[in-house]
Amino acid sequence: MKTACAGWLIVLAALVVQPVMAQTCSSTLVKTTGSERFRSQKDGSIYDLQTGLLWSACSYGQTWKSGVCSGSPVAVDLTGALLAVTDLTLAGYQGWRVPNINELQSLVEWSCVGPAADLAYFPDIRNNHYLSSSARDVDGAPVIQVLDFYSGRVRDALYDTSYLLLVRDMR
Amino acid sequence: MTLDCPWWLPGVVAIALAGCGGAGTTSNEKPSVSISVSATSPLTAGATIRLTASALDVDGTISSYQWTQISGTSVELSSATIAAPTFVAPVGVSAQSLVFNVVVTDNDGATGSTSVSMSVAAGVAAPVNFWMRNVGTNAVTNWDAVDHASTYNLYMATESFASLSSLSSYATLTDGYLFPDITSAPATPYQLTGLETGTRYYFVVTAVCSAAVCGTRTESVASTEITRLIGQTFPFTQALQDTTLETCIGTDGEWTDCPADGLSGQDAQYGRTAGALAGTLSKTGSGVAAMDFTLLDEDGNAVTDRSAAHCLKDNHSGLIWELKNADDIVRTDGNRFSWYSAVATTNGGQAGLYYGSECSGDVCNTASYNNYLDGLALCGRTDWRLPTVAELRGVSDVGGLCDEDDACLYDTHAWYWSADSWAGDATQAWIVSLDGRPDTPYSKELPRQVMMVSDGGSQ
Repeated sequence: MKTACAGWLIVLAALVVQPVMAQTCSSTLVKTTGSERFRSQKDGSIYDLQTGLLWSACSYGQTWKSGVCSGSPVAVDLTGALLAVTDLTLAGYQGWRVPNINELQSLVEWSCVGPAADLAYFPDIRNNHYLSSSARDVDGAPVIQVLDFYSGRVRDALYDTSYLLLVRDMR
Repeated sequence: MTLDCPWWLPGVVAIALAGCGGAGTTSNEKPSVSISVSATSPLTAGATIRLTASALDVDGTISSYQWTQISGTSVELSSATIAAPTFVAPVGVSAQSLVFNVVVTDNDGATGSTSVSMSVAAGVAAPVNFWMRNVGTNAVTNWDAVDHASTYNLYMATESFASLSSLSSYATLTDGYLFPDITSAPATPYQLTGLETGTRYYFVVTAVCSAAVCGTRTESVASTEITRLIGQTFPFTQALQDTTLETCIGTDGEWTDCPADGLSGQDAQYGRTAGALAGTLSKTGSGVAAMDFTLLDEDGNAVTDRSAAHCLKDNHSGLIWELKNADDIVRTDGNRFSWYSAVATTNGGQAGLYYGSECSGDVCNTASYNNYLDGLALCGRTDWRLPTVAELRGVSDVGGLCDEDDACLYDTHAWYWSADSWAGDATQAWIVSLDGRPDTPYSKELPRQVMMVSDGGSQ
């Protein structure tokens, strides 16, 4: 009886600790992403017909297979991100870049939060900060800009490292 | 007449009647049937095969067919009740045999039947999810791995493979070419280079089963055909605006020239800004970094003097932006309005506030301001609207360059309403400053500045 109770306590603890992070989408707002814009290349990359950019479907550190991102995204700083894209071959291509902030924010699904992203094409976008290659000046020094995919908000980098989506030009 | 009839005639008629219909109900002839197969054994695994029953009923017609499979890996017939059904020869790494039986029934219910047996060679399935994309004269292709396949053959031609009865005669097609025994794909997408611009190419791929696995080396049937007109680039409808960043972050955390030693690959090294820095970007108008603006007067004609300008055409995006004008109390720089929209697809269920706390003339909200500009037909436009967050970001000067030159055409430090309601709480909409500060959802009831936009072009 005692062991059975302990077992149940573990189960309950797991339920409490497990964060519930369900995406919520407005039923009325117009979708800003979706199949009219995106084409899965079925190789871990997503082509955006609107902007002409090719994106990694999964965050850096994850592997894509059959529409599923496996493994954990790896958070990197700017040095790590710029190193990560050097000589990287993904979906048969080289020439991947760290996106600038305008490019990164172009992926936001404005009718959704938690995350503000199109999970049909980017299945494992986290409610977290994603690194850009852009910075802005704050009191004379550069501060890196990140996109908070929970809401789609551009922010000044708060942390040393952020998640990363890779981009390349297809024009 | 009856007198002229020979005595034996009625008897002959009676016999003739017995031979035809009179006694038919009791002595109906069974139909005969034979089967032909559209290919000779051994059949190719994965090939589509047609069985044809040729039935004959000497004293009537055939009314039905019924096919059954007697032995072998179960296959699906296109129909079990037609004269000539088709099926796909089963795929397996060992040879196998199939036996089918057909029963034909005539119009009197008599049946005839026969069976046919055939062998199917060992083989593998055709690759599926075959895709290709091309950029310039290069192409990348791949397909899903096929069970038991050891290598793949990629065929290319400038006419369709549909006309070929056998892939082995691919060389008879125009520009027919074989990339044999590919082993790198599908683990790594296969690259093709040097394709001719303006030429339409056709591709199919097959999987090959080695002798070690299938007994003899065998090739699958062809995949679905792909065709590509080379020289078509990926289409896209709207190039993003570049940022105005012209400097990079150095390893010491300070601003430095690009590319930064040890931190190459930052924003300013790519896109239109890189062209502007290199002096290779051609512009219709002028502007900092990659920005390319033409000032417009109140009728929409190009002018050079900011004081005569009422609008700004972005020559890259095509968008036309309103500029503030101190001669108009509604359009004076610094005026603020509450956010309002009666359109559900924009307001997300919360229209905002019609009578905001700050009014200019009788204009108190963004929708009324929008109507005011349409009413003026400002710069010849009647399609004014609130910009999206992305559009505002596209005219943001995150690099702070126009401040340095004292050449800002609009207030880059104000907070502007976007058209985007916040999905997390529709009582708020996004506000954006045009200097790169973090954008944020903001109560629709509170006043903020507006900079309306028009799509440009014909209206």
